[in-house]
Amino acid sequence: MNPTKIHLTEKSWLPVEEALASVRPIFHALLAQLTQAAEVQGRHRVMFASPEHGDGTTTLATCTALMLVRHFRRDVALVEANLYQPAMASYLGMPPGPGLLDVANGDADPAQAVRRSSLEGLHVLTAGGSRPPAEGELAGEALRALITQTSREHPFTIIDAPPLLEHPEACLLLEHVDEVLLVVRAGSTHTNRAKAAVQIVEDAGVKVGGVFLNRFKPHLPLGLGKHQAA
Amino acid sequence: MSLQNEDLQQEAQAPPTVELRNLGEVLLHAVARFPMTIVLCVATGAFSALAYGLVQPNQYMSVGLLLLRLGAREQQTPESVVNEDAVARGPSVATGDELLILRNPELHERVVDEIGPQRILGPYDPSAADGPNTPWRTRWMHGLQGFMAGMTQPEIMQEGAPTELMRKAAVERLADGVSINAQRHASTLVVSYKAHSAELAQEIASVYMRVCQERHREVYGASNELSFINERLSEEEAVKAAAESALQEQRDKDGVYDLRVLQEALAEEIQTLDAEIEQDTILMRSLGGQLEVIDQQLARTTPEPDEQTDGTVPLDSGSPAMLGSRYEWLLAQHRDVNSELAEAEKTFLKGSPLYESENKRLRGRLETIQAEIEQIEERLASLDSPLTPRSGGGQPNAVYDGLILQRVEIRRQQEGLKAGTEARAKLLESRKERLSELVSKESLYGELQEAIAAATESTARLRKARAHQRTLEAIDSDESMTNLIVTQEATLPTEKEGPDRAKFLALGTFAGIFMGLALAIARQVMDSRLRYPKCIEDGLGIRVLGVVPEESRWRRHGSRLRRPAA
Repeated sequence: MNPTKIHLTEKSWLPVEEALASVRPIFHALLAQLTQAAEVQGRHRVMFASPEHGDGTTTLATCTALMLVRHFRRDVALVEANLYQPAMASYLGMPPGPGLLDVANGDADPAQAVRRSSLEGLHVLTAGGSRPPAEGELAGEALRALITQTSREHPFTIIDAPPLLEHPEACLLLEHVDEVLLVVRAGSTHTNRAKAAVQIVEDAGVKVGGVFLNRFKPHLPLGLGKHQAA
Repeated sequence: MSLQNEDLQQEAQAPPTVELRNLGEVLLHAVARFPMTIVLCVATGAFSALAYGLVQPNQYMSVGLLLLRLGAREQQTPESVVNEDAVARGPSVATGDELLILRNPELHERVVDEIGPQRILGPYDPSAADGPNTPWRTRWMHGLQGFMAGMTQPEIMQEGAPTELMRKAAVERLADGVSINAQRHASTLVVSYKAHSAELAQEIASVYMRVCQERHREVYGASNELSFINERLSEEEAVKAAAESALQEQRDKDGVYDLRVLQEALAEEIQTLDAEIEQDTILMRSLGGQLEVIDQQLARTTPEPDEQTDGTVPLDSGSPAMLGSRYEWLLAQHRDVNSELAEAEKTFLKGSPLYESENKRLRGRLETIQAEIEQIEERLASLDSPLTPRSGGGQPNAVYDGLILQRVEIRRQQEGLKAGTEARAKLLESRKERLSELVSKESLYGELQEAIAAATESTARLRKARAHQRTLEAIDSDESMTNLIVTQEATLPTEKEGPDRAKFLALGTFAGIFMGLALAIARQVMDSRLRYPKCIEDGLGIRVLGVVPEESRWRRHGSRLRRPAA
């Protein structure tokens, strides 16, 4: 790990590094799966989605992108499509804009919106921050074209999608991805709502590559905790 | 932290060793997830139980002892009352029976009627006994208890409530509070009553024991048996009187006093008559022999000339031989006319003119013959000598006359003997018929006499039982002479018996634990949120790529860094 390459400011270093340290042990299989798929297809587009907000898609998408760049030396485009609660720029210690909303607003050029990060190989398209997003803004032609263009230019595209059940326009992003990784929050996401999210993805003809159980908290001491996996 | 996370991942990826549906697992998770629910339930249960115990009135228990003795009354049955040989009730179930008898709700009603429903349902006010030296905490608690007792006071205790309802409520209160049980391996019954005051408990227990004694006397009293015996005795005496009347009526009808004696007398008489008839037969045979001898002698003797007549004999001058011949002829005529008379009775209809004329003719002739027979008999009897000279002047033949006279005498004896034999035969026949009649009625007399004997025996037994029951009744009339005696009067309790507030607290705590666990398990089972990888695989059918642990510091920083869209 080389933290000096990614923490641009002291302020943004702590959260993302701690998150990365926590998820690293469980990402080996995922990363192997993604790189293998990219080698077969030439490029691979993955969307992190969740049924509801607060499930942790932004964190996991960011960590995935960082590990692909840092450990596999891959060129990765990280797209923050969750316009409604943006956090990626803060996680990476970058300015909020220009981003998608700036492009939609005409304040920025699409070519300027996809920014290079301090980490070599990581290209970031953040939500931007010039104004609050309008409902259905993600369905706009300019934004969809920008996301399509970005995903074509990089072998790996990782999209942080807004909650599928709260923002129906998120399903439009499914046209640009090869697989969806669902993120659910332990003890919070109801089974029925998770099923509904899976149904949306499958109805769009995209496969669900797996599920991340986020913010898992054991209720019993670790000596008795084996059964909690059940 | 890293090592801990690795353990967590390994555990999360490890195959489940126990199904989540297992009750133990569910319980374990429920306790771990919802400890506050359990704690709240336990606290609520304990507090509620403690509050309930505190507002419960104090209980004082008075105890009395009754000893059950097994006397004649307790063991006798209706069968043994009228029959000493009948098996009486065994003593082994006596206390059990006594308990069932004394637990009759009617006893509660008697106690309520004697003490009064107001006294039994009286309000509980422990503060009434508080004095200036009573600690303030005690006074406060007594005040609270009195307030709660007043709040829970039944409506029927209020002014204007129906008396009958109040009485019913008092009976129910009494039934709840009173207890009567038998001590093991003893004939002692323990009577107890719990009340909120020691005096009330003692009073009710004392009255209840007295009512128990009354009930015992009623159940085992002799008056019922005595009236039963009197009824049975009257019935048996009526049966006996009817049988005796029927026997007497039959005796009057049959002219019999003692059937067996009469039968024996008749048998003896029949035997005597048989013997006499047999003797007459022998004598008749002897007389017939004598007559043959005389006839032979007469045949060898020359008859007198005047004997050659046409049959008409002058009575005053006829010889004995002539008279004898005439006499024999008349006897033969007498028999013939009697035969004709009997034939006429058979031939002609009685009362018809022909019958009357023939009967008159034959009877006239019979009287004539009978008169002549009597005249000849008188004449023969008057002859002082068989050598009486003949009226015709002929010389009498003494030998011949003697033979004639002897033959007449034998004939006369034969006739007399024959008449006697016939009379005896008739008597014998009638006696035999009588004896046969009596034999046919022997069973009837036997039945009547057996009925009388049975009724006599039964009445004697019942009179004996009645005397015994009268003795028992005399004992019953004395209240002190009972077989359910008080061996310990109802005590005046000095220490309170309850409520057991520690027990209430324990019960409330246990109930709270139980409720808390039940609630936690219910919440755990009904929770449909995704908590474990297994839930995801089972619920969604999608494999779990990883389990990200909760990191409080990370989450805190993440929340701070997440910004709403500008």
